Amino acid sequence: MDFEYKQKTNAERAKVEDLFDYEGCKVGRGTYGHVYKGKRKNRLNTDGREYALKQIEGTGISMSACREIALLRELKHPNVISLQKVFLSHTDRKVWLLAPELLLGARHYTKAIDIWAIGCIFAELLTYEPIFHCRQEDIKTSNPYHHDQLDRIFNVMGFPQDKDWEDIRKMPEHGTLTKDFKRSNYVNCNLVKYMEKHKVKPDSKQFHLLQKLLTMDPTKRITSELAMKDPYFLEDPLPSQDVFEGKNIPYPKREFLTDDDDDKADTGASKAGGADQSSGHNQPPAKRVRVMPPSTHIHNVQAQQQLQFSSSNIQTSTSSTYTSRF
Amino acid sequence: MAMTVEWWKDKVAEDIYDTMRKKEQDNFTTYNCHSTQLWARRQLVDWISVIVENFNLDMTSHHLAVYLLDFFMEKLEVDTNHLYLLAIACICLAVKYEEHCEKRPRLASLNAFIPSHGLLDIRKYTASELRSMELTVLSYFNWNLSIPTCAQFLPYYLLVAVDNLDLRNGIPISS
Repeated sequence: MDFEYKQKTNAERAKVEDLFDYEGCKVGRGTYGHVYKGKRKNRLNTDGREYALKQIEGTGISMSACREIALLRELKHPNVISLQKVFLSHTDRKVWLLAPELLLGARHYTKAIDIWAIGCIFAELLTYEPIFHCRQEDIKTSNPYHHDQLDRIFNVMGFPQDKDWEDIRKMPEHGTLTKDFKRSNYVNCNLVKYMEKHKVKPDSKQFHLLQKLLTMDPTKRITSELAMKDPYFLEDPLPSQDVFEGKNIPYPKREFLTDDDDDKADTGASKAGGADQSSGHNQPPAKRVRVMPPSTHIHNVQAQQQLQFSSSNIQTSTSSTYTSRF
Repeated sequence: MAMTVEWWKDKVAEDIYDTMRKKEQDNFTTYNCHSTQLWARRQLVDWISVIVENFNLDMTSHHLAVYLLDFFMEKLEVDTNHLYLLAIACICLAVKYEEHCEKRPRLASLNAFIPSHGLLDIRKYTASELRSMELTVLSYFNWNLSIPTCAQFLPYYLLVAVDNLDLRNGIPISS
């Protein structure tokens, strides 16, 4: 990768909290985010300047954020604060264990939600793979709806039939769901198939239990009391306090998931190179930059963008604006 | 920005025009057709036009999207399977900058327009992939989307270039 470009993107990925003190200095809150008053942490930089840090939350780059940043960077006037830097911050939240009702906006945390999570872990123990692994976890704090995660769940489980989950229509995000998803995309998906691919037979006791744990309708999902009485636990090996009971750990070494797509992507790229040569274009001199597949290489860049403005000549007036906002 | 306000008829039109000209010169970078993926350009630009037509997007978005695509590809190469993702990102950014929020095409509808293609292994792109690509493009342009394109100059020039007697298919061009 081109050195300069890499440096630049790395710099952009610097963490705002490493460069600025702003904790507890929130000075405003609006529709689009939070504003903090901050000072540089770097001691060499004792200019005493104050900066306004605006944090914009969201799963995507919203229209307003996009315009705000693009336009602010144009403004250069002593009476207008100037945009200094855009930070991209990231949150690493695992949503693989979230029950579908949560993803569809359920407001109450229930025991059934925990059972779903247990089902996810059980499946993972059976297959050595997180069953609903979703590449980029970027749940927006205010909005639980998570398209990619739901897509992943439906890809394993199939799209729920109306009769299987009648109350799905009452979910807060049901409208979004019907807009974003087509049942027909998941007709060939079901848990039997998925588990069979991982060598778990659909007539096995473990599969039956798993199916009861991973039931889409929370009201039909098995309870913990019932699950503990499941025939699976009467089967050898019987439950015990110490799962290994002094034996060697019989599991194969767990491999990290590699993204199939990226492997494919690499082959695609070499194909492209070939096409270039044969097309006989005059290629420019060597230094070619390659943008890595965004899904893997910009994976840190997530949900929140933080803008930062410096207040140049008008520090006092901006500060007072903030004070008055308190 | 979208020409909802007809700036070229405004009192300060001349100032706006001067500012745009100046910005155009400040931004000026030559386009040398240096992309290693020039073979894909035609398809992608055609495709962007299809999207513009189908979603009834403004000419300014159209030109901005193609500008972003061209100058990005001039320097950077994306994975072959992400070429359409790049085009989608350029459209989305252009629309976000130029248009009313109602005009934003949904990712699912954009995905649906991606042609099946022998060379490429195209599947549907996810929202997070799109966001990553948008961010890649934005940071490449240092968030500068305020780029005057010919679509922005056109109405200003047309004002003096045509009058009510200039017809196209029997209809005054100026209308």
